[in-house]
Amino acid sequence: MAISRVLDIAGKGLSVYQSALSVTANNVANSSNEDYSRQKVVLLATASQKIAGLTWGSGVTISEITRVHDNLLEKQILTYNQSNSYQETKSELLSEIENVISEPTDSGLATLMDEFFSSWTELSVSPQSSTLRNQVVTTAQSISTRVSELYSDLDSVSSDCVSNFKADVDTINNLLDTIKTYNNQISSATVAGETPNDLLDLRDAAISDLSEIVNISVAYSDSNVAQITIGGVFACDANYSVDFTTSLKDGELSLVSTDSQKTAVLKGGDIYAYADVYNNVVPSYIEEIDTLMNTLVEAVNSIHSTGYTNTDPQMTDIDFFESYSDGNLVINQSIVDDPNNIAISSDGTEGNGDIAVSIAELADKELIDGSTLSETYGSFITKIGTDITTSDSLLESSGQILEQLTTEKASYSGVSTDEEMTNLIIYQRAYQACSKLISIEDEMLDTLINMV
Amino acid sequence: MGIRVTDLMMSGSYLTTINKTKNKISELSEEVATGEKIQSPSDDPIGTAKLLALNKRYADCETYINNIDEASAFVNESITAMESMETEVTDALSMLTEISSLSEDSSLTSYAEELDSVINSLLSLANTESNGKYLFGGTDYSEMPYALSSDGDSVCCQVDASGQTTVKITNNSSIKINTTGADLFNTIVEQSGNISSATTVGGTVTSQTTVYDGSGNEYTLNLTYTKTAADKYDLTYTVNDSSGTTVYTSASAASLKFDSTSGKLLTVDGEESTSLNIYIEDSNINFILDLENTTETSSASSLSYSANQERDIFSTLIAIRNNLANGVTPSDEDIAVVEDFYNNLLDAEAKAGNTINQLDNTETFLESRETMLTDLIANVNEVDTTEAALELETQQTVLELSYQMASSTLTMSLLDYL
Repeated sequence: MAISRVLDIAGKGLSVYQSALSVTANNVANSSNEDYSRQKVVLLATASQKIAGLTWGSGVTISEITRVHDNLLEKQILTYNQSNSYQETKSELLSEIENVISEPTDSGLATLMDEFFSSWTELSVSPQSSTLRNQVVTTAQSISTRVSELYSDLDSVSSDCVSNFKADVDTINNLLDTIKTYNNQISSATVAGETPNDLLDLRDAAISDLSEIVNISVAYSDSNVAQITIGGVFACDANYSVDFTTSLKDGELSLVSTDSQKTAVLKGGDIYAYADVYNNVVPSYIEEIDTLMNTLVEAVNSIHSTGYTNTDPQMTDIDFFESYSDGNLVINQSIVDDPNNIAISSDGTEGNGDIAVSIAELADKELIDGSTLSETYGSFITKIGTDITTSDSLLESSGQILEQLTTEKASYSGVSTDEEMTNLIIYQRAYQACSKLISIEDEMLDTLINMV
Repeated sequence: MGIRVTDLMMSGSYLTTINKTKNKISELSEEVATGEKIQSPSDDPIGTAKLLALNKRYADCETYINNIDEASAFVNESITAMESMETEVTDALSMLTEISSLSEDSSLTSYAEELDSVINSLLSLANTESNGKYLFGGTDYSEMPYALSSDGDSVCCQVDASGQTTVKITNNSSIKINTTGADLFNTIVEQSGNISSATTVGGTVTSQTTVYDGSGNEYTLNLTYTKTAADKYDLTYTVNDSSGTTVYTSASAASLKFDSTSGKLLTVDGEESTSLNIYIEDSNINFILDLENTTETSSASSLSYSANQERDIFSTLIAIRNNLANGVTPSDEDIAVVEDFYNNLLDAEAKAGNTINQLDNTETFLESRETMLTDLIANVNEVDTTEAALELETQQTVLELSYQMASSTLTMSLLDYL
């Protein structure tokens, strides 16, 4: 057996441990990169040799540098990314709406309606008082202003949803294009027998970003290509990525593929929150306000029109509100110009305020499905509050699960400095030992040479 | 082997904890700063609805208390005016007693002058005005309710002085606050009974009763109801003197509409009213025909009448004054009319006094309800400052601990010991 064999084995060792140290160095350098999966050196004893009837080991080699990655965990993270970002964005939008409603405050609609009905009660006591007549007009105008503000604020929430939706669609298209490019590179590398660890990390990070925007499903091929569909519509693979566009038809906001005009079924991601709030939430809130205002207008007018004005000549069959539509509550202009046109006398005498009493009593009448106006408004406010708390608690639970999954991922795939330092010591020591072997072998050779 | 603890995992977990604590601190600080638990509906959806309902009830209480203050002022003014009337009528009565015990009639003219001033005071009190409202004019403030007739022999009621002012003082109760001039000064002839609905269209129902002029002379009032359509009648009338001569015929017909189910009178001349003011200046006849208890049902027609007084106070006092000026002493019937009015006035004062009591009681009730509502609102919305401050303290400690833990452990690694 040749002495040089030891030199050969130790030399291999030196090169292996030097490479192993470079993997450790790469891990340490990426220790704060969230998208990075730690890499691990897999050492393998090289093929043994049979010499003189005995089997001899021939040293060490690096069989592969693996990426420590859990596909199942990654899939779960994608799923919860979708629901978490949906809930998060929805929560933000609902909070915005909640601020718009501004309840419970003195400027909220509840207080303004109370003041409106109180002004009628007070007017009934002194029907000829122009101050109290003006107060009725002012409180009605306050309701009108508030409702129109509510409408325009809800409208701006809606238009924000549309513009954010469009911005998200642009991001989706960019990400799909990026993923396609990575897929392509990964596929070529895999076919060539390489392990494109860093490319895989980059692509997975892009997929993860995508899952925060929209609900996706991902399937992996043998060559590690991620095939993505969005809401049932094919989105990208290694060769092709679909371009999506925003569709706004009949008040419905949806995501449609440009070429095949297929509509993606939205179920998650913040794009779904924008669509949900635009298509369902805001319209349902607006409907509540419309019902409330239409009922108020109808009820007040039906009583008011039976009364007599405080003018000369007296008039009857006059509506208090001219109309209500799309957030515009219009008070009869002749009443605004001259509050004596408020018709609260039931018999035509100046001191009769029976009609004002009847209008004030509307506040306690069950006008909408067995509820009073204020009860209806109260339950509407409760609904908004509950919508937000539900969304918040769903966000909290999905957030907790996501956090747990991310922690698990960080625990499994993340870099531990302590571990890397330990590896560093191990590799360094192994390297030192190999060097020592070489120097001992050198001494041995020296001894041998000197013998000659 | 246990779970791998990586650097990212540690920093992530510290960040989450610190964020949660900071959120909690921000919420608590806002609560402590505003003193209110509910800043927005999502803080407590059910609580918000409760709060809105409680706020509404509180606002209602405030409105009703305002109404009561306004109403009390009105009633008190009415009482003051009636007390002044009481003084005038007491003076008149003692004067009449004096006159009846007089041995000679020489000073009757001076009494006539004195009585004239009583009449004028009474008339001006009957027209007492407050904030543009005539206290005894019903709800019609368009004209002074009472005025001397052109011949000065009677006081006519120029408006319908029977309108009632009712004020809403709680969610489900209202109270009448005015003493109507009709109750106090007018002769009210109340008609009760039934008009048969079997009357054919164009058919008539007639009825008659005795009415009096200012001097106590008898007249006959003939009423004719002519059916114009289902539930609808035209009412016309004539007044005949004791010799049967018609002294007055109604200028136009009053159209009446009855409720088809209950049979109650709904409107007179299209207005929600059940009375007619009949004033015949030439004959000094002035009374209110009250039809509130007249119905139209399938039973046979039958109408009856009752009057609160034969003669009104103003006509009687004027008649006494005229007689005194002519040297004629007042009759016992004349004095009885004044005494009746005096009693009627005392009754009205007592009723107004009751109204004041009722208003006061309701105000007390509403004020205690306000206190109760304030408590309830506090229960729903008020922050327990001590609890919140303690909680805030705890959270701050947790935050400090987290900071310390993070700063001492995150910086450590095996590297420090190599």
